[in-house]
Amino acid sequence: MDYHPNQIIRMIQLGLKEQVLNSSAIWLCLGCETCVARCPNEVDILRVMDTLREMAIEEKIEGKESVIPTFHQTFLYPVRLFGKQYELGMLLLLKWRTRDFFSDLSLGIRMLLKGKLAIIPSRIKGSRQVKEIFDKAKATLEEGRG
Amino acid sequence: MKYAYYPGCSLESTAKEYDLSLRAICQRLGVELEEIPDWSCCGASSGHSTNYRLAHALAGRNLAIAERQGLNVAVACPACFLRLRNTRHKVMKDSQLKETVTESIGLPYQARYNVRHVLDIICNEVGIQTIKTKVTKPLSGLRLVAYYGCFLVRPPKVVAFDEPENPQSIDTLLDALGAEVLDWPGKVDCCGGSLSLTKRGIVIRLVRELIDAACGVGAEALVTACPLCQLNLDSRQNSGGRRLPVFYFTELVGLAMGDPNARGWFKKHLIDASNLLASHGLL
Repeated sequence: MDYHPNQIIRMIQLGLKEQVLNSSAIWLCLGCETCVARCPNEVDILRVMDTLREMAIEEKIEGKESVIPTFHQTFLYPVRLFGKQYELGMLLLLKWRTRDFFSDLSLGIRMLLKGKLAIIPSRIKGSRQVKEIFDKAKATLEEGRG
Repeated sequence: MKYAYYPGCSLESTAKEYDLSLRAICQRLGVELEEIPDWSCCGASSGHSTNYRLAHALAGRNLAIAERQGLNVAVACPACFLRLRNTRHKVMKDSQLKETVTESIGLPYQARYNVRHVLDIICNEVGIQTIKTKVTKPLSGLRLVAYYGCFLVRPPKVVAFDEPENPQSIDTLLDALGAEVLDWPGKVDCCGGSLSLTKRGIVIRLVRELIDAACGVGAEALVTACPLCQLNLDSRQNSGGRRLPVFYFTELVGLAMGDPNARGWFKKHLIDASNLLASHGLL
């Protein structure tokens, strides 16, 4: 991680927008909430990190950790289609998008054999409703950009 | 005692044994779980990391459906639990967000019903005393550490059912099952979550630190309440070194109550737990 959460907050105060949006830190932050729980000034650092990630996406800044925003996009893709996660499809799509075909193959096979990954996705009845939720949220982002 | 149950995606796939063992023990403990009809994904960290409105709307849809059931919500996955609880928490304080959420989902939502984690329900509603009376096969001699991870305890203002730095609920529960519960420093450290799919090296390092800490106090296995923690710890332990099995707390409650299906749950683990359990005469 190139900057710690407190450094990111200070950089924002100093107006170092470009450096912050290009940092690894905003993508490596998992949202574990440890800094939020311990901050003596009760700064909601995770909300700040989420906002920074949204800003970086809006401004199409790929940064050094582009594999992570690609993962988020890939994670949400089956949710938009089916209303639920479809792990196997998501994993294969992630492999395709990141051109990483060989890692964890044996792990994947073991999980399939243990019945931990469904072969066929299940679609919820209200999947159209979920798709609308995605469309409305995307429209809000685009309005914000305009 | 009846709840609207939100399993979440993992409990239908990678954490099937968590769902099976949870339903089994709830039945024995008199907790009725009525699955939220046609529930959808909560969006997890990918939702809140990329789109604020999307994250609250995805959580809100499930909360709004549960509200029609007229029941408090029980959630098994700590990540889903925090997403749902956080949206309810924010909607209660922010009328503008409430409007955005209801507009996004096309359903009314008044934030009337509470959102609770199943661990909280089992420890604090069912109660440790009741659990003790149902134990038929005490886990005597089994040396365990309780691993809470992130979202059962953080952020404390939102989740608020245990101590954020030194939580006790899983410890107390395991103690009631007759196990030897060890204190250790890894309780609330992060396992690396979804970085397991993008930054494997980080997760392998974090898992190594947790396993070293658990071995350091003499633990034979870890116990968690989170599908992502279980999967990372189960799949990212160093194949060369000593490997510790990783249980869901529900599996051990079921085992101690003599549930005949317990063997089937453990078969779904990647790291075999049968030798350990057999060595203590538990399987």
